[in-house]
Amino acid sequence: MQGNLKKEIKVALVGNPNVGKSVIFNHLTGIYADVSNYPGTTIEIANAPIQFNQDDKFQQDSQKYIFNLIDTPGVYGISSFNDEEIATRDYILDVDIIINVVSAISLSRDLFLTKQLTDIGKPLIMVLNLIDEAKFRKVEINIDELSRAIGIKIIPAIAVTGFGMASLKQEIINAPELKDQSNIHPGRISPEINALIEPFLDFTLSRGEALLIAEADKNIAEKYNFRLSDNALELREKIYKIRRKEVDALCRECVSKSGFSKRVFLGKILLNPLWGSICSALILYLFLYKFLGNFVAGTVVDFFETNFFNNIYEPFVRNIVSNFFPIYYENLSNLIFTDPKAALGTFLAGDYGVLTLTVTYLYGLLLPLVLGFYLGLAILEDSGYLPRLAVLADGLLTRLGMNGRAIIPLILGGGCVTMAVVTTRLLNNKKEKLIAMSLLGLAIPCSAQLGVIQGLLTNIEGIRPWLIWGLTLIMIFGFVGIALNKLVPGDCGHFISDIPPMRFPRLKNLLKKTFVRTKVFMDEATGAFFIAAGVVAFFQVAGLLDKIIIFFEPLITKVLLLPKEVGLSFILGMIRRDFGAFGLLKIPLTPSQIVTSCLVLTLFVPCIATLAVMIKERNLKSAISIWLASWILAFGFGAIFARFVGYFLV
Amino acid sequence: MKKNYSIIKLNKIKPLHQFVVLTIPDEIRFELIRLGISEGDNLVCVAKIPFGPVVIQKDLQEIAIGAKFASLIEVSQE
Repeated sequence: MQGNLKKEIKVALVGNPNVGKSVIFNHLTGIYADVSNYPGTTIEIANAPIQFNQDDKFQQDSQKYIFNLIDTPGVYGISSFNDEEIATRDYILDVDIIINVVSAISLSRDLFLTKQLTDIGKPLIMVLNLIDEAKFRKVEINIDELSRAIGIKIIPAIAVTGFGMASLKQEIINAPELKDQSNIHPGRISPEINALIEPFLDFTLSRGEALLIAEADKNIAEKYNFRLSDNALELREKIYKIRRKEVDALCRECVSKSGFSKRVFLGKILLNPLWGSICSALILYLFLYKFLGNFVAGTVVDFFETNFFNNIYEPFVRNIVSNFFPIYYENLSNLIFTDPKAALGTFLAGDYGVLTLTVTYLYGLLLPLVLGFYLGLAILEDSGYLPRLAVLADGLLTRLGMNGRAIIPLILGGGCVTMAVVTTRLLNNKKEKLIAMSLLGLAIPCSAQLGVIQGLLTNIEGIRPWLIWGLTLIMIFGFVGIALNKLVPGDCGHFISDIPPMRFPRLKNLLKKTFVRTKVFMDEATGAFFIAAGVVAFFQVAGLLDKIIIFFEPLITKVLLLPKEVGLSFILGMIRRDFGAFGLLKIPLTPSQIVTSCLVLTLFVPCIATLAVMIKERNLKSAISIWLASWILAFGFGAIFARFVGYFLV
Repeated sequence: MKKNYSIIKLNKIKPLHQFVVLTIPDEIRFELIRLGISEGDNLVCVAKIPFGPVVIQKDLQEIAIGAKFASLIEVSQE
């Protein structure tokens, strides 16, 4: 037994946000951690053993050891400034080997963390990623000189292509060669900083902890019952400035650059207030109206839903089911009591049958719409556009009580509001989080719902309905945001963000990301869809569906001026918003009614899953308040809108 | 030849103008040192969004600073 036990060696990937840690994690472990071109992506920390190929050298060593790799959240330095830093700091103090991923195009920023890591004094390897980008931007790095100056091994890499990954594996597997002592060098400790941390070395267990106390890290000081003195921050500043000076000197010695590129030019255009705003409006139009509305919800869905599912799949299923049970399409009330056999047949393959409608919805509608949304989002992310949008939007979002970074959860909400609520963590404080969460719950439709709405709106003649829907939504969004900013106490946080370079998205990464996210979405949606459809089909044959529709009829017909059947969409929307939206497709509506119902459905309550995440991320009170407010605002705005929309459509 | 320098707040800087950082408020000092910006640095403003952030550049690194803090950073410009 003893012989089979492998010694565990813990390895952490550490680096600034958006330098390629997750891609490297993927190469080393074979496991996909969500990869994007903006900070704050690594929220759930991935952890998996490194996979060594059969033909790797030191194969014997990989039999003796298990190298557990941790993908830590991106940070600019280690301390306790925010949750991500605290998580990363604790991993760094715990692991045996650190792999520092550094971007070759932002060395003066990234090396600050590197120097902090060498001061901590743990075995350290540097992966110098994006060397192709550096070459493209005419940045020359003297890697040998840099390696000598820092005192660690540097592996040049292009992580997206896998270049450098074999050398990295080799280096890692070399580590434990000398029995229990790693043969990876911890790098050169700054003598000036070393002198400053000397007094703290006596009572801490590690050099790393001594350094962190010297840098005024509250948590570590508390751990040792050490009271930070009043001038603790001065010492931190002294250390930071020494480190910054060293990094600047390193960059002067080892980095040279010349010339500009077109991509840099594009990046600058997108930051221009006028051209940037025009580009944003154009992107919104192309992505939502042309791509998601016209192409995906129109052409693609028509093809799959009508040609395949409605014309081939559903008749085929009905044919089989009707061999065993009768299927009814009308006079369904009380069917369960009058003809249980027909009730079962109708439950399985009727208008709302779990084998017919649910499957058509899932694979004929939901799948293409979600795929389309995530593909579009992946392009926006990987190109480096989103951080620029955050800069453009900061001024506006500050007026709504948030900061530019809030644009990321708000856009992710267009994929899945539930997931987006989790990413509100990347905002500064409670006020920002609460406002972002409320706006997500209220005014952001999720992918499939968004797709159906775009499809319905683009189906009406001209661009006007789409513009009316969009502008009204933006107005309500702004109105509610300004009101919340006034009502919720507290300050909106500050916005400081580094802007990653524009990149040309790689097809492989785009497809992988799209498929992984779609799969996660579909896995969650499938169960929920069958349950929702099962409940509706059961209610139908039990005669309850009509009763519910009649109960909500006054609200729908008198307040919103819509046909009573639309009520069903809203009820289903409470369970799953997309499922509710699909119901709209079956109801014949006038253009005004289409725009009204699209608006009300967008504003209507968040689904059950989102509600659960809101309770988890904040509390029951906030979640219920947001839910109830959605009812009031959706029907309030809807009632006013329904009475005026007609004038704008003519 | 003597050059004239004026001391202004960062949010008043115009795009494409160069400047030297004079003082950074305590709240964001450490964050900015980490990102590569400290007092005495010679930088360039690459973009300014009206009522929004100022985008400054050091080497190849672009950093956006929200209006509120930009109005607290003192810089000198030629």
